[in-house]
Amino acid sequence: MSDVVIDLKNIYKRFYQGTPNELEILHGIDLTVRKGEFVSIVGASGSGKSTLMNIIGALDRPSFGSYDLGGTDICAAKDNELSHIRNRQIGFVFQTYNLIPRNTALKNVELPMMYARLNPFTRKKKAKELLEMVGMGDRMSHTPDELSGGQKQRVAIARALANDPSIILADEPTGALDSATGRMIMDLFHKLHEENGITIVLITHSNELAEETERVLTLMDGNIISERRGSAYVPGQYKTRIQ
Amino acid sequence: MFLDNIRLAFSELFANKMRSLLTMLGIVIGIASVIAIMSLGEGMQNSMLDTFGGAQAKQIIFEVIQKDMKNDYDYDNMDQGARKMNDSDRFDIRTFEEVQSNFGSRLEGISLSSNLGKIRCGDATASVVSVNSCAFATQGDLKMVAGRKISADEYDKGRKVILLSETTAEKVYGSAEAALGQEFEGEMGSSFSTYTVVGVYKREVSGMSAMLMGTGGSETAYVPYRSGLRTSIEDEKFDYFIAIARDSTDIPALEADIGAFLGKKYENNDTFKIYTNTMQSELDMVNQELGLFKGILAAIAAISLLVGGIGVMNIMIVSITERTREIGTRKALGATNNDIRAQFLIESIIICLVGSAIGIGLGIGLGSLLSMALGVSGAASFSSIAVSVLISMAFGIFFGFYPANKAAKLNPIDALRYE
Repeated sequence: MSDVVIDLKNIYKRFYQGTPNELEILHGIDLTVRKGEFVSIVGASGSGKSTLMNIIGALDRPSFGSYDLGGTDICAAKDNELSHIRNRQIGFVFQTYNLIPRNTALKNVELPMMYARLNPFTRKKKAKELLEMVGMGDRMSHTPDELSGGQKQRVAIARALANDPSIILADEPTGALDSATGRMIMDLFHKLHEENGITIVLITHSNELAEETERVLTLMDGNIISERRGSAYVPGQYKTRIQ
Repeated sequence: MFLDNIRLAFSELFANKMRSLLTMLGIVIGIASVIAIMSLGEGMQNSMLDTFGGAQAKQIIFEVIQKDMKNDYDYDNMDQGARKMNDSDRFDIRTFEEVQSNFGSRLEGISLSSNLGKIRCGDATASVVSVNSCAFATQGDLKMVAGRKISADEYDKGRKVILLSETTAEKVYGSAEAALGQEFEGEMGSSFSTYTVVGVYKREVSGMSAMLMGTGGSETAYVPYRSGLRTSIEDEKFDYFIAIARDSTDIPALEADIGAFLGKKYENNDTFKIYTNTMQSELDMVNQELGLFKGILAAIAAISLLVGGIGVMNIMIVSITERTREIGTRKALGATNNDIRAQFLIESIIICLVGSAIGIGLGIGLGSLLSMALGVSGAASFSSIAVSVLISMAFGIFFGFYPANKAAKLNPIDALRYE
């Protein structure tokens, strides 16, 4: 079990707890993700995807249940510890990129390393390597408003990788992109997964994209109703597609 | 991290130049007015010291007043029905000789002067003041432009010699040199007087001294004290006199000693007593009033600083609302509440510090302009600059804390979803 990165057991999430408006969004979710896996979570809007993502991403605590992320008990962690966990263990990729405006691509990628208190030289060097890895080596000094959507998302992926997190948590990463650019971003995820052995949790409402991943979890009304191997998943598909 | 926050604060400052400038304007104006007022006030005080700090600070005044009066202008306690002051109540030359012989080691001398009135000579008018040599020495910065001062012999014998101001000399004789040796004839009161011009002087005054000492200074003509007397000096009576202390004499002690010495003579006087005062205590009083005046002005200026601080707080709140998503993103990437708090606190401190830097520059400029206009040598002191910087930093922290704390406490989930 040592290669389990995410271990959610019997997770419940209730809002407005103790008021007449109490609302239960997640009804006992069990979920494990192993190191190096590429997992997707699909579900229609209102299925509890976002709530689950917030819990996986350590942005929120479950109301009940246990969550072990890379050996840390998230339920018992204090706010500062959650910040630390998000910083070191999780790399977020958002639908809307969420790059810091007015900061260059390089500065954006350095940001998680700044909060990890790395020295400026180390973080600049690492940020450059990561930007080259995602094919943005020639756009390092551009600010977000000088970049296209696909380029912004690649910078965001480089930023997500900055502190060598246990997982990349991608929330609709292609949602704001046209299909060709979305394809490129998916290929980048496959490349990182295959070549760098990075663990990825993809949250999407698109079945088509989900089928490309190793394991597809379907969420409906706060329950995981199915778990299966992606029908379009081919090991080494990135390499094949390149050739 | 700290440096990163400073860099970040500056990049935010430059990203919204117009807004930053308007935000800082309150601080700029506040600091500028505080500095300008402080430097002007200091200039005025310095100028006071220059004017009264020299010979005048060593003056001790002895005056005969009614027993119930607290000081020489205490007219409230003056008894209108009391008997008039007569010659036996007054001082005379023998009083001075006694004081001189008893306290000579601590005294420069006794200053006697009397305003004899205006003298008219052609178009020129001058106020004639009769002085003894000691009184002449306390007349401030007089520079001889031609001729010489009144000699000891002329003082002793009461010769009819006169020192004219440069302006008067030029008006009457065309130039200072031409005036020397001339007979200065003029109408004084109802009679004619004739004096021989022995010297021409020029008064070196700054604007402030002129303001404080009145405008009569430049048109004064000096004659030996005894030359102005109608009778002999032995018969002359005085309501008051001024003693001049030697350098490095304990003036309050001398004031008390002479006061006690003279007081004995008045022990049995039914109506009158001796009142003493020093120029120094007058100076202290004026200084105190000036300090109060300066304080009130500075307090008014500080209110504008306060308004500026509120402006900074307002814009910080706006900025944080605008950057809610950014804050959410930063938190998702691992920023702790303290990281966020520090970022915005430093931003607000930087706004205030940059504002105060501009304000200090402006204030120094404004202060020296105002000082120049008033003719005082005002300069912003290091302490007032240091205080301004500290105040603006404190304002940055004080007015930045609420917004920064608000940002730090944002829920990352809500902040990330904020549109």
